[in-house]
Amino acid sequence: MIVGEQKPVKEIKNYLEPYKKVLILGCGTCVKTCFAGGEDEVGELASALRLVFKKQGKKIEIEELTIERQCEDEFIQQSAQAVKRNEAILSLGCGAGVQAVAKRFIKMPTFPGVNTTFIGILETQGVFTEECSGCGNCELAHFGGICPITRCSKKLMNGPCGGSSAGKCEVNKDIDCAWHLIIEKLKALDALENLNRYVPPKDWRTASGSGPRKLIREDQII
Amino acid sequence: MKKKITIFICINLLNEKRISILNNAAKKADLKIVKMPCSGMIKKVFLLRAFEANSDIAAALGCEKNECRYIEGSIRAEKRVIRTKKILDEIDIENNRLAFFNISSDDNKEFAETIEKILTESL
Repeated sequence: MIVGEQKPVKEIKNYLEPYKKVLILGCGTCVKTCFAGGEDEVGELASALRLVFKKQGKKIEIEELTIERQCEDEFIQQSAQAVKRNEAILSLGCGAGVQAVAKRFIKMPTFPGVNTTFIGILETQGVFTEECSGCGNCELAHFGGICPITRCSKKLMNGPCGGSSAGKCEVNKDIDCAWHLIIEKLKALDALENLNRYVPPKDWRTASGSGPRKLIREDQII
Repeated sequence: MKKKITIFICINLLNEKRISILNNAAKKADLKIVKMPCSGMIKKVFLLRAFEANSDIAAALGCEKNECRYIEGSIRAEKRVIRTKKILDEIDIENNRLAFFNISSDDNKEFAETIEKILTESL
């Protein structure tokens, strides 16, 4: 999932200061799962903003709505009526969601309410970890399903740096050494020979090295 | 003017004696009691809305940690209160207007003292 966290209320308040009617638009997919922009967070933020504006004597109407996904126009359309009733949108979607909403409602000021952080997993309840950099050329098959590009602080592709201690990275003791995990996993799979293969320098053209990426599926285009 | 107080309380904490304590408390303050099936059902937005509804004080009362019949309800409730206090800090509302209390299921005296504390003291 895409992991994010809500922006500070004061930053959001500054965006909304010029408006009298605002729609807080939540997203029911990734950011809901990471407690940043689902229905509950929309309600909490709306309440917090009403309190803060009331305190400064400003009247503001805040409408709350959460759609299934903000990154698909089909779902965004469901918010059209609510958008019409307001002067601005505060999107609690990820960066992609905010942009999709801004694109759909071209004349509506659209603001982000979430700092999009990374592609990750729910490691344990309340703990999210980064697992994928979206590099466009997945090499997990060689590394026992553990990504050195994302999870090694130095993005090393041909073995550990030698700086780790007790399975922890020298950059930060809270980070697991990806190469420690890779070697342990490959040992368990009896596939340590995978590491005999030299991995050439990463070709970043499939990542963001060639500008914004586009994926076209002809079979899906009607 | 009477203090406006909202108390969210787990129904498993209520008995006849405690209901009468709350009824007496309602004479001293503008008291709103919100009975919850478990304190773990208290959402942060409920606490914030209590302040939107002009409460001077909002309090959440849950069972002792080892007494919650849903195991972790009161732990969740306390964490949500802590998180909501952070939101109150962000918007410059005194976070001591919100509090969480673990209450034993069989100590009515402690319950009465807690309600008195909510009524009379700054939390």
